Parts: sequence; C-alpha cells; structure tokens
Amino acid sequence: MRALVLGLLMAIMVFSTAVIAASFSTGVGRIAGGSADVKHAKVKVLEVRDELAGINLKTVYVTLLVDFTGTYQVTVTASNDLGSASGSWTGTLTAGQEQTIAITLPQALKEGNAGFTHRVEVALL
Amino acid sequence: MPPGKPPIFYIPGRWIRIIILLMALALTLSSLAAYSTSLSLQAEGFILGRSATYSYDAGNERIRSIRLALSGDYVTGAQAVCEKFVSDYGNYTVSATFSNGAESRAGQVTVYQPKGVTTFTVSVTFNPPISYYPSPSVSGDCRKVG
Repeated sequence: MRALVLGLLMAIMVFSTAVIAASFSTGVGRIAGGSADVKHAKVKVLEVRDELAGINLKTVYVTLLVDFTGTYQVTVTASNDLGSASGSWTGTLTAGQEQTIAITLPQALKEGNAGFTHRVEVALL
Repeated sequence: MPPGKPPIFYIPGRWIRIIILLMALALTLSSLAAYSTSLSLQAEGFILGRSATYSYDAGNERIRSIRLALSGDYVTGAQAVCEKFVSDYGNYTVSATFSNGAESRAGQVTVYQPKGVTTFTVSVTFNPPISYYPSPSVSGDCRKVG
C-alpha cells in the first residue's frame, strides 16, 4: 500500500514538473517571441453620432479606426438624467479603414434636462 | 529498510513522506495556476484606447455628433454638429473639449445661423495637438449667444 502511495506521489511530481516546464516555455515564447496568440490593437473612436426618433435616442453611430484586423465587440452605453441604455455590436474591423457601425439601443433613452453621455468600450475577441 | 521492500519506494521517516506530499501538492497547484494564466493570456487581446467617452450638452441647442480630427495619434480638432429650433436665429457658440486623462485642450467658434436651419456643423481646432491616448474623452456644447 505504501509503495502504491509513494509511486502515485512520484507520478504526480513528474507530471506536475512536465506541465510547469511546458507552461513556462509557452509563456516565455509568447512574451519574448511576440507570438500571435497575444493580440495587440490600437483603437480610436473617431466619431459618435446620435439618431433620435422624436425625443428618444434609438441609434448611436460609432466610427472607429483600428490598426489590427480582427473580431471586435463594441458596446455603447448612453446615459443622462433619466437613465441609461446600452447596446453592442460584434463583427470584423479592418486595420487602417474607418468603419461606422450602427448600434441600436434595445430600450430607447428619452431626452432629459441633461445631454447624453456615451461610453464606448471596445474589446478584441 | 524493511525486508521485501523495493529500495526505490523506501523513504525513511514520516516527515519525509509528508514533505514529499506537500511538494507534490504545491507543484500540482502551481502548474494549474500557470496553465490557467497561459489560457487567460491566450483569450484576451491588449487594446490601447479600449474605451472613450463622448458627452453632449443639453438645452434648446444640442450637440448631436462630434468627430475628431486626427493626425496619427494626435487630436488636432473636432467637428461638431449642432441642432437648433428651425424658427430661431442668431449667433451660436460651439465649444469642444478633449481630454486624454493627463491633459486637455479646448476650442470654440461662434457662427451666425438664420431661420430655417435646424442643424449646422462647426469645426474647432486644438492648438497644440494633443495625444489621443490613454483615456480619451470629449465633450461638446452648443448655445445661442445673441
């Protein structure tokens, strides 16, 4: 029984050491070698344009410029003194090309006494 | 060494066995942590400028859009679209402020707009240009001044 336990422990140690070695070598390769696994992008939000239906903000147009072609998720949260609403878009943005996307808010936001504040958040998927 | 035990599996002393057990557990946990770290590195992308804030004013005249003018990574100005009542006329001042989180620039322009016009576009210049990064935010204000 003792031999079995000790043998098991030794097997765990050998396996763990192998996993650690593999993880470190992969990590170092990624960091030092600039592997494509870690994506880098510079994003600029060039324009935010509101489209209202009467007094309701329904669609926000966002113009973006990226330097890395990839799949992005763009989320707009519009807020004012009456509340907030957010909508998202997911798709491909091409490096070096200005692209305008339309994000429809699932719940229209009424115009209040304060103006609109838009927070645009971009994630690289 | 007890008789009948293979030498490779005989480790004398209870503490040695406990230490080996703790080492094995530590190695297993650290390897799992390293593996999960590498997974998270793989899943996330690094984005410079991942969020931006645009704020538009309230009142009878309202900003409906702002477009930044850029030269590389530098913001040189902004173009704002203002909406007013069709029956109103007079001088309107449009101002825009850009901040990158570390410093800011502001500019304003006053223009005359007649009756019948509902939207008009004004460009302001930021002098000197300001870096877009790291935390871009822009605000605009449009109001009748006379």
